[in-house]
Amino acid sequence: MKNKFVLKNNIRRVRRGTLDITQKELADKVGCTRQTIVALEKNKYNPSLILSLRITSVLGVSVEELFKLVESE
Amino acid sequence: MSKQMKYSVFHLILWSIVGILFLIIFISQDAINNWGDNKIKSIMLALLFIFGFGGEYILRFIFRKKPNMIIRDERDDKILAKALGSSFVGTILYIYLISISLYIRYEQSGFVPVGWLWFIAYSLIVIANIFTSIFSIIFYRSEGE
Repeated sequence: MKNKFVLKNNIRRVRRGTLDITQKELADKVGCTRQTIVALEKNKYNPSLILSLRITSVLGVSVEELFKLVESE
Repeated sequence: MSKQMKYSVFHLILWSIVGILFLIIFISQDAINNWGDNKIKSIMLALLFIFGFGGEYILRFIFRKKPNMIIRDERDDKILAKALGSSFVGTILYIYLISISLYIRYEQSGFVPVGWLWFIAYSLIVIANIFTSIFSIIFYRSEGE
């Protein structure tokens, strides 16, 4: 049986912790809509590699720090 | 609510109005059976679709991209692509169901009034637009608007 994986992220924690910027500010910096940041923080959307790298670049963290692959039950 | 979601809602309202008016024109006064003699209804339908596509153009103008403003990104593109795919399947199902219904209804006589072909042709446009909007709204709601 194939294992299923889900992508979890720490965007909300990092955004509010180190940088303390709003969702709108982050969205404007990475070039997406605020709704996409909301969906990402709720783990309802898996971003493309380009968007992931742009977010890590803006937040100043590594991909591994921001995203985590979790095996679903 | 994102701009694209708002656009989908207005798009659904617009094409629902077109759909209702379309049904009123088509169903009133036995239009199907008298289709060949009915130039006024053909003009009314043409005007109705001008209203539909004109309204869509105005919507696109209202929701156009403004400087320094991101109104559509990769997530919107993905949702729209999914909505278009689902709308395609829905439209195919609609053609299947309406064809089977017409077959069952006119099986005994062996003749289908030619007006039904126009009905299918016009209604396809309305159904495809309505399905696209509905699926966009469903996918936006399921993926956090």
